[in-house]
Amino acid sequence: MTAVALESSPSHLHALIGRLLATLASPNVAGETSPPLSSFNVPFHPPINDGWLTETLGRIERYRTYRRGWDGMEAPTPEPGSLTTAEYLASFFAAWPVSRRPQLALDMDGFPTFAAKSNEFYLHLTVEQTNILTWYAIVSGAEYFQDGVAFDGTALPIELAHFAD
Amino acid sequence: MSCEACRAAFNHLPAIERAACVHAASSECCGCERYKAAENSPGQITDDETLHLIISDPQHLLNGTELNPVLAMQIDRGGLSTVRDAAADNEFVITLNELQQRPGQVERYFHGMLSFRAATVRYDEGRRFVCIYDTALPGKPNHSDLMAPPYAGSNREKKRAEKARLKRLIDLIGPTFLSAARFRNGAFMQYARPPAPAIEAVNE
Repeated sequence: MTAVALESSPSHLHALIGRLLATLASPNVAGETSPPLSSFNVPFHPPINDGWLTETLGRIERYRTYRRGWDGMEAPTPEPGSLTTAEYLASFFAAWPVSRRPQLALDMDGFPTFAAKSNEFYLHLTVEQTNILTWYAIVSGAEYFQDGVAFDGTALPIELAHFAD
Repeated sequence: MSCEACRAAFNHLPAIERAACVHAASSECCGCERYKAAENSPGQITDDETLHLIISDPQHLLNGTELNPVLAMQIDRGGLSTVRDAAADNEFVITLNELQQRPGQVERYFHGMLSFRAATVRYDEGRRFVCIYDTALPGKPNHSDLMAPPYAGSNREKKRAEKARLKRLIDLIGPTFLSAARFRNGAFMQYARPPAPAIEAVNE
């Protein structure tokens, strides 16, 4: 019941978005990436009222309550750092065209996973550790695969950023 | 290879190693397809059979119609559970009850089914793609599992190949989602998510 209440509370989500933006702006928060907004290499206009972002951040907040066996089977507890990385990613994906914004879910390893599929675009991106990304994508027929790419929250890796085009 | 070796592999624990274990139980690709997991099984799954993949979490769908890789990845772990079309309604009821009673923090409801012919995923351009095992369970003789043969090579190449295969599996199954209201004329709607209460009711 708590999770439902959190999910359905706009004020809570606005606070969450505010916290994310504050984290982005404040340097040197222990254990989390904390880049200044000025270091973003892409235009970043946080869409506070964006439904996709609100839903995605709300989902991450719910995932923070998950514990081992959350899927009713053997799935491990999602790592808090990986979920923070997913929050950062979401803030970038929110600037992507709606048709390419990936959907967030947890996989059976407890890894936050973003996936999207359309005729010309497929993305399967996994946050396997804090600040570490793996993705498999098909964009206009071309295959892209990267494993263990560092992402500190300040800028999307170049190849990933190009998927927005 | 023997029936006993395959049956032991079907029950291997931990479950996440099951697909690899089943593959290792046979010297030929998908060799354990020949054997029943239990005596109550109706037998080997034919190409023409329709298989149903239960969607109990909306996050397991992409675009509301297609399989999400977070669920598809079960083919490389414990197997992706499906129900054969020959299953009586009672078998679906048992399965749906088990899903809803599963411990954990994910609320399970019957959202619908992805339904497809066995041949659709058993072959890809004439070659074997995914193995489809008869994995009958107590009270559920029409239970089956999709499992993929493991890849060799470096971890990186294996990971790439598995993700490419997940994409292909999603393509092969396609946007075949049938909602709970439409599957078997809504016979299992009592397991669907109840409609959200009206706003007035929430405020009372």
